[in-house]
Amino acid sequence: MTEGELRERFARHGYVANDDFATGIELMLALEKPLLIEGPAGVGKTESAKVLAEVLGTRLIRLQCYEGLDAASALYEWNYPKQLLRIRLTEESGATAQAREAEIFSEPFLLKRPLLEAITQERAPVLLIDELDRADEAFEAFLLELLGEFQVTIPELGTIRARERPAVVITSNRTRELSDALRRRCLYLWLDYPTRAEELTILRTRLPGIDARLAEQIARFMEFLRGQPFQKVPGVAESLDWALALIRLHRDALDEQTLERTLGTILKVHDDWELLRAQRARYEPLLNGGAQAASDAAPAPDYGLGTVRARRG
Amino acid sequence: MTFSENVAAFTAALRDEHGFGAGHAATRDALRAADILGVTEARRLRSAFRAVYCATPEEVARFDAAFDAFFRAPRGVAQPHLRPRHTRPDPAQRPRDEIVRTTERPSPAEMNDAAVTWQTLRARYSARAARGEPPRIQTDGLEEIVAAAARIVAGVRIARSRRRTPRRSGSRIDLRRTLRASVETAGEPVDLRRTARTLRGARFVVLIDGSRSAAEFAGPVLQLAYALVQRSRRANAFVFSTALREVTRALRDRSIAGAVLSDLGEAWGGGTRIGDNLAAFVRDDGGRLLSPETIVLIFSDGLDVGDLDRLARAMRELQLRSAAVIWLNPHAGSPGFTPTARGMQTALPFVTQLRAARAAHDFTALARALTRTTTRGR
Repeated sequence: MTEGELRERFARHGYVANDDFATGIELMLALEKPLLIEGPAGVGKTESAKVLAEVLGTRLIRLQCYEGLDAASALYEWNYPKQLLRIRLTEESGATAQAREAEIFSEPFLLKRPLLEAITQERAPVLLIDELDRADEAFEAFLLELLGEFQVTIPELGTIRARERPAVVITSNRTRELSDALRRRCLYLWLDYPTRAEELTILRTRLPGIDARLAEQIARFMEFLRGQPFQKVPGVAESLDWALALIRLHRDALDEQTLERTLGTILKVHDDWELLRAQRARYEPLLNGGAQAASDAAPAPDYGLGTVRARRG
Repeated sequence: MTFSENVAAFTAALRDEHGFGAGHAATRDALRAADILGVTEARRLRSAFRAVYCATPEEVARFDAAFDAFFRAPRGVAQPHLRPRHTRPDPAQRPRDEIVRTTERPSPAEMNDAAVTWQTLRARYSARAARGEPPRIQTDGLEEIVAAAARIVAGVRIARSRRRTPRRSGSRIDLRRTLRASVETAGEPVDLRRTARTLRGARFVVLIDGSRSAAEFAGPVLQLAYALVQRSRRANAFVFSTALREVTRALRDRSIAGAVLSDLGEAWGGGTRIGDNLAAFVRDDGGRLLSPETIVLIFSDGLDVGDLDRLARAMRELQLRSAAVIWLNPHAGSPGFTPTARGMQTALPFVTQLRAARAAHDFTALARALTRTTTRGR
């Protein structure tokens, strides 16, 4: 699949992909290397993997990392209750201890966790390893081995090799630096906050019914917000929530009162509210009252001929 | 020169001139990527090479300039100018003691704000004040400090991890091992195996005041920062003067020992704005680095000419969002020291411990103190 096709397909699934992203995906599929995506919270890192699975028409297998994640919860676990039961049921069978042991440590008693699931699929799935920075270094080292060979050794069963190599997407929020070894094994993509034009495209793609002027205002306001030293800078998820809230409230433009009522959808730390209110003079022109911004945002006059406005995105 | 040789030369240029960690594998991937995408469009080639060569956000930020410098040489020049390899300055060839100390060590009395002359004040107020020498990670006594750092990293156990390890007196039954064992006792789980939660190490953040008044004494604490970053993946180091700069990546490189930390800009040798810089740290990096498992080490003499209110606010935030805030004052070890500098007094209520940072043995003592206090809840 070429970059253009990828972008088009992602757009059809409601995900606006920029040049770097599309190239990254194309390369990861062609080179069969994992793609490591880093970037601020709320720019759609996790979403991108979900959409990739839809685009490829394959399964998404997700491993959410957390502190204390170990190989057992990521790879496989034995089904203990079933094993216990089987031991009891075969007590009188007269089979040797070895035979009984071999039986309860066989595939029907195996619970596949995401990583094992991913390498035993008939059709290559998308494997999302989410927020790898939350897991510890020991797990990272274990993962490194798996990503290199795509095979797993289970002592009781032997080695299982991947039938189809999954497309691996790894995300990180950088609470901890990932090791160089892992970084070098991956293709790297830095996903930043969208530009104003991109944000506008995202709003229109995800919320097709949105009022053009409102979308423009939201995109401008988000651009302003992202330049502020907030503790928690709002991401794309926030701007979509906000837009949805405004649509539900039947607003077709932003004003001071509406902003106050819906602030909770974009800023989620109380100190940030205070900080925003202190900046009132600077954001006021972006609201409805400001004539300048409004005229700026209004569509170009249509003299009965129709207007063609090219928009990059 | 063929395209593949060109790409190989680009890899070498990235590695030698721009400090990238790219190697032969990257060259191979870059060539495959170019093969897949075609090389007609510079924009796409650049995107592809960025994905292949970069591994960190810092590298992404530097990549475009490096790419342009190499591939977009002036028209008519068929091949890029290849500079000689290994242009990284060799620390061994530099004279060892470039820093000429003209000022004598100030007496404790001078450490109070009252004794600050207008000249030093001007130096501190002005962001453009002449910069001092860039800091060097000295190798004298480094071993002892690395040993102290290793003790700190290994000894401080703050939180219980969710990871479990086999332990006889553990709180939870280890079904896997119990079942294995039960096969031999006719399926009767006679011998219960158990697991317990492991204890987890701390995260460390070192913030080093590189303003002119403190920079002179920063040698040992820079060594400590280097040692902590070397010993723990969960350690980050920053320097600040009028601006804040993270130096973790530079310190992770082992060859920095004995060499100079360069390109610090406004973050070294200028004025002091402790409050502003701590606030900037909390704002920009707090989310990813501060947690109840973080130990914050601040090195500063507390001679602050910035907004003291901001300092107090930033300190409160640091205290709330970390396990401990340890203030290392370069003068704390000297006889007759009292923390009277205004910045020091503002910060003191939020500080867990105020300690000296003059020499290696101060850090050995710090390791002892930290190990003692943080493991008591075991």
